[in-house]
Amino acid sequence: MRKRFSRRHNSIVGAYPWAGPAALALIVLALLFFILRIFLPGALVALATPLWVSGNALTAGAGNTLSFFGDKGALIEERNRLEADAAALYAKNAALEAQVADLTRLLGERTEAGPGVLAGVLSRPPVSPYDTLILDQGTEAGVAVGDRVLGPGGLPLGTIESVAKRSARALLYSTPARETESWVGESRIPLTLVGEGAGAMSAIVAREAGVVVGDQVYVPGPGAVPLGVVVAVGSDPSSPRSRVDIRPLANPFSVTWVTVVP
Amino acid sequence: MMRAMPTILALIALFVFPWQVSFVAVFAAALFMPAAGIALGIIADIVYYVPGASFVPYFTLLGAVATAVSMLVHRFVKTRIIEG
Repeated sequence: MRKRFSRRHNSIVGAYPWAGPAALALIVLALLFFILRIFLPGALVALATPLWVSGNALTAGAGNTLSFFGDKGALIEERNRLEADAAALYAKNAALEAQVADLTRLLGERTEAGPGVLAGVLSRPPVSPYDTLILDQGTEAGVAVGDRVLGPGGLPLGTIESVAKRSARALLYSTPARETESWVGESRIPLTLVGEGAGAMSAIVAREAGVVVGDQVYVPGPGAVPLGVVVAVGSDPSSPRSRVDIRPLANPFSVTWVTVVP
Repeated sequence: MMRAMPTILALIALFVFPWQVSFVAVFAAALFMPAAGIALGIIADIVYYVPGASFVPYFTLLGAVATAVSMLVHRFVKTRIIEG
């Protein structure tokens, strides 16, 4: 007698024979993820550092090469502007040199280290997907979770979220959905900044608050530290509230060095 | 060796190119080598993910999805070849 086999027999297991091994593999990989993350948080960062450094050099090199093909008129205009800037900086430098000489005569040559830890940025958006900065200093240099990360000119960029022996991850204020208490305008109207990703932030304010384009946004630091500037204010007359779009003063896409302060 | 090339390129892309490019590269690598999807996703999240950034590590999830899709595609292609 011929025995009939049905494809429908035990269809759940029969149709997806890979489901069991796949689930097992997922669990193993998830465990591996947490083990690596807990016990070797800086190991992959150390391994990836040469790649990041090469990538940064490659990006800078490509930018310089592409600029060769730029519009000739724009290049001449840029050169003239840079010449004017150089002349202004030369004059300013001469004045500062004189000031330094005066102060050195007055105070001597003793210098003290500034506060904070100087850290190089290994990876930044848009290479890093979560609006994070990977820094090349860690607990060895005194970096700790919760420290503030300052960009050029002391502009706040974010805070340290996790730290390893020789590396750290900083979370930018613009991280999607991240909320930061801040103030806007000269009258320091309080508002809650919400990260939008890629350096952008937004907030909701009352219409009668009178926030206008160009107002500065501040975060708490030593006093009120400027973080960004209002670039757009929603103008829906039917709504009592306005959406405010904020652009950071320091561009996180081009930051190369930061200072980490407690 | 040729099958491993997309995986190697995707691994390099994670550290050199914008994350959107890496995202596509991981998916493409998974089509050639299914396990590469989830492995690269996990590597990306070990390097970049911090708990304050989002509730879930998106690259790991993407890698898992890419691996699942790739396995289904491989299974479908194999079935067509056998039945054809």
